[in-house]
Amino acid sequence: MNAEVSKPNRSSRQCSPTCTGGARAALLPLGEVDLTGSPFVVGAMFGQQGGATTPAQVQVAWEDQSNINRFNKLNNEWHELQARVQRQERLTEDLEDASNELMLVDDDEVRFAMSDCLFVRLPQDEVEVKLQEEAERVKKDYESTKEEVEKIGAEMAMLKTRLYEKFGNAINLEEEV
Amino acid sequence: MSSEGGADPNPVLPKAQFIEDVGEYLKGRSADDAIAGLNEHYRRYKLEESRLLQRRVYNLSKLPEVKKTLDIVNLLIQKEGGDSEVTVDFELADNVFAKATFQDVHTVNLWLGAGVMVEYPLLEAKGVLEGSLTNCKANLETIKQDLEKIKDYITITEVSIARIYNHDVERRRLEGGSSSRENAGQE
Repeated sequence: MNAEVSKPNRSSRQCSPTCTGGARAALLPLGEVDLTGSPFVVGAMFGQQGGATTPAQVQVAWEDQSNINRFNKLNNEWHELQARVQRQERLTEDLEDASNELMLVDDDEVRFAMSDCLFVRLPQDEVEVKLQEEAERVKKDYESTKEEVEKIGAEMAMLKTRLYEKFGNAINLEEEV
Repeated sequence: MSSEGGADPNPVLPKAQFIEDVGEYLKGRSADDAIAGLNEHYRRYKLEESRLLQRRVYNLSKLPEVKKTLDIVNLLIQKEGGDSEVTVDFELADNVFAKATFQDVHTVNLWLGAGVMVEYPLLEAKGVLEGSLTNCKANLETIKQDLEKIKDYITITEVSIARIYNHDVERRRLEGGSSSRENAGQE
């Protein structure tokens, strides 16, 4: 499902305005543009083999540009949602822990943290209901986030196929790890 | 505080133009100049992006705060009119808690900021908080749209710079190829 985990293809022939280490990049030093934060780098294919199409010969149409834009945005969103999924997983665990602890408590009264600096003393059964409601809500959120992640992953995979089909090695859509 | 949904994120920001034909685009100027110009745009887009991201973080941190406050007000509403006492422990200073008991509360003080605190009836307080919650979410939505637009600008500019660069390398390769052959012939 994950369209982004595959190892970046670090072909030695790939060169981009960022790889200043490359001999070709010395042709036109471009230290100012840093594209490394970008999930894709439009690189160049500099041929040892003479007959290969060079990137300048591949025409970039507006449609391709829109696809790249879309991919970029989806990639961003994918990361954000992934972070949210992790937060929700942690929250679910914490709520489970709290429910389990609650069962072990003998007191009728439990201190319930409403915020960082306020604990309300509530009867145990009331807290139980509150925790259950919260767990339910988090579960629903979690499921819808998961669904969204999958949808975005699928669209990214589709865009990826389409862009690689057209640009081949001249484009890099892999994550910089 | 925020711009309208359809408008440009920042009116003085130049719109990123997609280059249809690099050769055509470079007519009358050198690749270096073109790239320098795009770099300048790129920097401005990045600046705007970080400004938007900051506002996003601010609103994102406000959201849970308002939610928590709303939870507390809801609890007060739930306990209003009941005859049971509610006991709370509240923080006086770091790690120092005091105990307070209340019963049949009808109003609550909300901190509005800038040293102003207003006492509201519980339901009115709920309204105020729900209002700022909606506001906060609306802000986040506008910021998201602005960010998407600026991200497109950034992507377009990145691609344009790479294309001009590649176009120029290709040109030099063709020129260099022929001149080195000439040199070889002369030697």
